[in-house]
Amino acid sequence: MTGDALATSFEALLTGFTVYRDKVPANPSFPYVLVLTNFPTVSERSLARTASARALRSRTTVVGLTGGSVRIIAQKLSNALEGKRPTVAGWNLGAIESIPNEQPIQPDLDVTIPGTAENPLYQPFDWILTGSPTT
Amino acid sequence: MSDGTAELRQFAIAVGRIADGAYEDVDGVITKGAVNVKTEMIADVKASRHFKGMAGSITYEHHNTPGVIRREIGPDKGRRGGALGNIYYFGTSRGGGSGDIEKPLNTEEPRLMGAMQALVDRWAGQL
Repeated sequence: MTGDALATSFEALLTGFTVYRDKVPANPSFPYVLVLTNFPTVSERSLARTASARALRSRTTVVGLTGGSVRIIAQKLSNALEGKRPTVAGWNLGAIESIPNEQPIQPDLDVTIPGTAENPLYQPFDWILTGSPTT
Repeated sequence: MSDGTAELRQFAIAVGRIADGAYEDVDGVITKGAVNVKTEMIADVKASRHFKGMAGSITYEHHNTPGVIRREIGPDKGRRGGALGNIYYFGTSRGGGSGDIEKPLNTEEPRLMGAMQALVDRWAGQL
């Protein structure tokens, strides 16, 4: 029932596209999804002040060479996560939900795609998964 | 012996009086909450070595419409440093995003709920 097992289970849902966990290599393969998942923090306590629920938050950043590419991968990402309920031993888990962040697709002006003068485009998506330990 | 009509009329008058001022009462509570959120956002960004220069860009705006009280709080892209806001809170294509945009809201939520409860209690006392 560790927090790491929960985060690992969440990230295991990300399949069907290139995923970089925690950081992006120097020469990434576009398009990709960068995922960084927090340790689940206490979101609810019992009257005895023990942790009765925890919230796992994750940020996924979809990066592509065009807006269309970002949207296609974003759709795959949403299909992979939205409403899904991972199974992890020691946890009663709710469904994964996206957290609206109002962020548009935008160019990363600090990064130039190798061999071009173009900037990649990206859009971040935030997610939350709430669960309670079974013991 | 009263048939209750007079009491009902008095009750209706009292409810009407409360309703007349309710919008402004709630607006005041929400404005106070928005100021608190803005203050904490500024304090947080001032603590960042790389982003403290955008502290002056954090503002709040009234976006009230009939029946809806709304505040928009955050970096104003028209002000110095405001364009860094999305990088501070959401990162770039290579990660980052060290600012926690929800923390000030989470801090304010219990205070705001307490103020709203106090307001409702005050209204109830006027009936």
